[in-house]
Amino acid sequence: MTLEPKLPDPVQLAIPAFIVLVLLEIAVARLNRRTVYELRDTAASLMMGLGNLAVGLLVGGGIYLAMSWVYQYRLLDLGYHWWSFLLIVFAEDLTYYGFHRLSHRSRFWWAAHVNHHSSQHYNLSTALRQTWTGGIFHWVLWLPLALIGFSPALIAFEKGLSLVYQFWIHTEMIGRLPWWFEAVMNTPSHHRVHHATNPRYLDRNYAGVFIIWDKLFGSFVAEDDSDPCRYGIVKNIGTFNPLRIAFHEWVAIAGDLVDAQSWRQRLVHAFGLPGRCFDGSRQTTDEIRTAWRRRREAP
Amino acid sequence: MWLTGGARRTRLDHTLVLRRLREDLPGFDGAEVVIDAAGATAIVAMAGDATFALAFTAGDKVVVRPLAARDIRTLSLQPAPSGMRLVIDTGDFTHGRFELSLPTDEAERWRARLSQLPAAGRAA
Repeated sequence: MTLEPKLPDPVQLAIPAFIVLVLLEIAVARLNRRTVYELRDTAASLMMGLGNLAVGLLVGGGIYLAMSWVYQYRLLDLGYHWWSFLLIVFAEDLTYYGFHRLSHRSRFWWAAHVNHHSSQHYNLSTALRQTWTGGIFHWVLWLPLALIGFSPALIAFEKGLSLVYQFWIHTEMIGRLPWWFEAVMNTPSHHRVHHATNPRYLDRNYAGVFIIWDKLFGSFVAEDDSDPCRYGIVKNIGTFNPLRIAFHEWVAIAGDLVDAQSWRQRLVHAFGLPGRCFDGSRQTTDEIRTAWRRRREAP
Repeated sequence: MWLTGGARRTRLDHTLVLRRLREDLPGFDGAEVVIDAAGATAIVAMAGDATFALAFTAGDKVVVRPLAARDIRTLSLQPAPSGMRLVIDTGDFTHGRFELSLPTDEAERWRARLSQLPAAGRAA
């Protein structure tokens, strides 16, 4: 079966549902007298979401051209068959896992991703707190899919579906889901862990749609009720200004590059592990976890 | 506004500050805490003034930062309606300027302690 290549944009279609669900979560939280939302935090998240959309509109055409250019050299012709839709779901999700892991393990990529983690709140509006700068270069990691033979339209469609799926997992309103679902799919519980700064949870659960990648590649940690998630980043920001949220890590990198003593230091500051430094003023997540384990094991 | 609960702001107290220090800066054993009159900013010192930290509110949440000499750009005292305002400029891009309204003697004492950090208080 071959389908028409004109595919809808799942994100555009889902925007009304996003709004309704955010309002519903706010109302449920309010009725339960839970302080899940804070006005300025939510406004900042919405501004980040709008900025992300604007950047997407600006660079989308160029990305599509680059994808199409690579696609002309494709190794296979996967077309628009039912099985190519099935294949792209897994291929795109694996690509997303790699992208997301890189976004936490290399400071250049982290600088674009950090703003998604910058709220100390965890609610559906946090899902909308998206990057302003990542859209400019994230797409290069999806080029191999076009080279394999997935059409740019199919890749864009699946990327949209993945983003829509990841919206609803940004909530504390849903506890654990049935074991068979938790075993395979990314869920609110798994993603709370990803957003948490507790040492045991740092840099874990990178999954987009399927949690299986984390289990395969050793980055999975289950939510532990005895260690409730604390959200945010290791060095939390104290601002609701979208410009500062979007650019603070880029500014920090620039400062470190100026202060660096050698080109090796500059490379580490730009592309090394976030938190890596040469003056002992910061820690990487691995160092934080190691110190936490030592404290736990100390007599 | 009713739905979101509006723009909430938490108020710092000793228990909250020390809890957040334990969570965010493990190993930092706060020995002395000073909280400004508005309950928005606090300075915490470890025993022997070995290390300092700042805690401040961001909406209904709290942010904690270690405060080393290299973090302080300027340190000054300004007159305030009651007492003095201790102003710490860290130059941090996300939240760089901290103002603590304190009784005059407290403000002077903490300024002196922070100034004794090597290389601190350049424009005091």
